[in-house]
Amino acid sequence: MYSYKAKKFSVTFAVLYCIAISGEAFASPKSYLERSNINERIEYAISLNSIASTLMNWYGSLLTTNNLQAGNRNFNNTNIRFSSKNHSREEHRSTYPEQITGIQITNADLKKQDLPGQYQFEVEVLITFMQSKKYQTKVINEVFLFQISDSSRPEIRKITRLSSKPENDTTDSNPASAFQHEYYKSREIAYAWLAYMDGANSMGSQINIDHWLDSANYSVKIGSFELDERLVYSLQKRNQHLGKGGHLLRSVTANKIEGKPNHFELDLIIDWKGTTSDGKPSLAKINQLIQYKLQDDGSLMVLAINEKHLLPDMEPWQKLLC
Amino acid sequence: MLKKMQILSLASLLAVVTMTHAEELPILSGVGGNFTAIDTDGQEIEFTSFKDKVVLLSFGYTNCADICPFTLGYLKMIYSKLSPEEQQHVRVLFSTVDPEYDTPEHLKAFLAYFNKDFIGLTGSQEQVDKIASLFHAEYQAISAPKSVETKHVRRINEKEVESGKSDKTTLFNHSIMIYLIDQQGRTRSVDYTGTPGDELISKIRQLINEQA
Repeated sequence: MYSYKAKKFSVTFAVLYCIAISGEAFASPKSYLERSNINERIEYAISLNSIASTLMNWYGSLLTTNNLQAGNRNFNNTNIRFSSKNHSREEHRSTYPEQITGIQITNADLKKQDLPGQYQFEVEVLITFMQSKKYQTKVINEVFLFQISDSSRPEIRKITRLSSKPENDTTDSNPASAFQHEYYKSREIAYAWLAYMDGANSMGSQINIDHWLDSANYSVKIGSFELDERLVYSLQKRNQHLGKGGHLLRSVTANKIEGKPNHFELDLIIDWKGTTSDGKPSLAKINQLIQYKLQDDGSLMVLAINEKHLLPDMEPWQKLLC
Repeated sequence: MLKKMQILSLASLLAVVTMTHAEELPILSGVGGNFTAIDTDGQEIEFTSFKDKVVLLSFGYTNCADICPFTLGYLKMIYSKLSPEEQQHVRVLFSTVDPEYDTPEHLKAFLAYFNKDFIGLTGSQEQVDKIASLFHAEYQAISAPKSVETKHVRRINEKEVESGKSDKTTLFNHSIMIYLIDQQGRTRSVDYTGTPGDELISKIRQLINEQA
């Protein structure tokens, strides 16, 4: 169905509804894993991850501050880039309900456009909001037009509302309580980090990387190849060992670290496909545990990353024991 | 004569086309690595000593009544279909998950039942655990330690024990994977006895023919 030689490509995240509920990430589409050209794969991975991070930042920023937990007061300090002063964050924000208490992405479809670096992300979201002291819901379909510059930092060219359908039911409890700031913040961080690892240096500012690149510890275990150094050194050695390729997030779980306010741990499962330094195709299933602190100003401080490579999922029988 | 040459040329061309289209096996990042073990000659070896050989590695134990004989029978069949020259480039390794019972001598006698070229790996529990961990292989005891008399186990070969003493073992379950490892020690494929023989042989030949 998909051919990268064609200028347009489409990746349908048909399972995103289930994904959003279960804590999974945007799926690694089969077409990505089958893509043979390494540079195309890297471009695709960077585009998807940097756009997904921006989208998570955007939806996280729409949630009302009333839901914020102590210490996470500045989640809404979005640094999303809009391409035109005529299309400001405030203008777009005004098209959504005011008191949003939960946002659930139920479908998404990324399409590359004819113009270089231009992507369209069609998204369906279920928005829960307070009105007349009752929780109400609304299904919104909208299209984000993204432009990725040479530095791979996406900016939103346009947001077009396709439809907005209020649902009739109202409730006293929040039906989207799982889809709040922490949910979006964790995914914003995860996608930006993956884009950064693949070479999108500009995505580093999204995750405040200058503040922790030189201080966080990064331990890596790839078979008998092991590293345990400051992130800035480990990352370089790890990427040299691994070779060229693209990371795609398969699942993400965010957990609070007990006894430490505003400390969290992201548990990521990542698919990587690329080539080694001698040009051989290579596959990895990566587990990363990222420990971080959200500081009072809302900025991110990563403390440690632990990475280990697992057995890639290839055959249904490989986990069998006899 | 000319017709024979034409047929041979066509066959060679087809072989080249087929090889060109054979998909290169990917390196499975983080699966495998260097380790030490005791081989069936009682020598401590490093896995790096198999550099420049294509390796087929599986896990099991000599008192396994189920999958191990089946896996080793399958590997015997695969190995026998390789030419003597190809066999020179291939090593079949069997790493025990029960190093306490599987001494080098016993492991050697067990493997010789299948093929005398097959090499067993044993060692300390720590060494065996490390090999399993590097390859993400799993195993666990399914009986109390040394609680099952081996006379009740359907075995390939009996272990020599002092007369008058009963021979007892632990039963395990374990991963069934066969790891195909290239000449640089990198895992390139994970297979099992359900992999069609021709398919695994084709993969082995691909790795034999790779430039070291």
